[in-house]
Amino acid sequence: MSKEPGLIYVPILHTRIETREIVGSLRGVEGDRGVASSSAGDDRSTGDDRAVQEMWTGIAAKLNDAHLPYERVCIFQEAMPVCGMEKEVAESLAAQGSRNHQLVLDLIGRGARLEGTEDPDLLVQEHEYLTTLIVAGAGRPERAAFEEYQARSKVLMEKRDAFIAARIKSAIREGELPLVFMGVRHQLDKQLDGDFMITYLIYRLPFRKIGDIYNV
Amino acid sequence: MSKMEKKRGTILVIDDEPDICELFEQVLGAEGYTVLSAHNGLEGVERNTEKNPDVIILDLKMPKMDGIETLKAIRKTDPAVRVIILTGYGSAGTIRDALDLNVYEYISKPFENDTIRRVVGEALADSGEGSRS
Repeated sequence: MSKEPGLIYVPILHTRIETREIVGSLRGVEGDRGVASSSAGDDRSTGDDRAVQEMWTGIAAKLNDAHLPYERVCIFQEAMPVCGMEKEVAESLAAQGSRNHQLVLDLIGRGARLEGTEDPDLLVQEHEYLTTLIVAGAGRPERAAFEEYQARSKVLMEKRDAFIAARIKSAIREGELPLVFMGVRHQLDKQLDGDFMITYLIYRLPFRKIGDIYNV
Repeated sequence: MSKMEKKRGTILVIDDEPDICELFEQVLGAEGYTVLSAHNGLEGVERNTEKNPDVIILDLKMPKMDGIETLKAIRKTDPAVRVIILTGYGSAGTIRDALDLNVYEYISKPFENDTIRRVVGEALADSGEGSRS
């Protein structure tokens, strides 16, 4: 039997509009200046969004079935900066309709605590890549802009993942169970392997319904 | 179901568990789809070449040739077929592999029959990039 502490890893996807709102939250950018403005419109009511809503409903149901001891659960959330205002950030995004952050608040209500997860400076760099390459990339083909974004963001993601792994290891308290919501492109699992016994919680991941996947 | 009601679409199920293949034949066959089965990766690659299905439902954990290896082999000759991965042993690594191999959707076992019906229907209806039709 392994002596490694447990960790629950929830791979996630965001809709375009969620990405836009998360990016906006990083710098107080207005919601309508985000990613989606470069291409398709608001997808809140489309089939794409419905698939992601169903993903969150399934994740919530699976968590419910897992009967976790929430008073010992510590949540680490992709794109949640270490800022001392983590709950307020989650509340703001939940109020804008993010099922991800609504679920986080629900779990906090059951006794879990939320930790800042990401280096704010690295998130700001991610934000700049997104706004520069996707929003300000007007006049360039959208596909070329996205591919350039992915290439630059990949290097940044390695730094983000290294920070997140170190953060989880340092912030977790004795006897706590980390619950990690992390985007599908991250390679955080590689940095946690050996320190934690990872259990994956997956319902469905509708990749093609989402289209381009951004790293927030 | 009359011929008029019969839905167009051929689904290839690649899973080493005969019970799962049988379940899909019942559930999706009742919807009017033509359902083919392959019980290992190699057979799956061959059947894809022979039958040119519209959608593949692929298990990840199979002996000898696992689901990712199978999909890599399929993608060498067929970059467009829509693939739904179905697994009881999901991980961040296989999710990244699935993304890189242009998988339509990644679903965890156990699953609800309604979810599979809906996702297969969406995959067939979706005329986005990479689709066969």
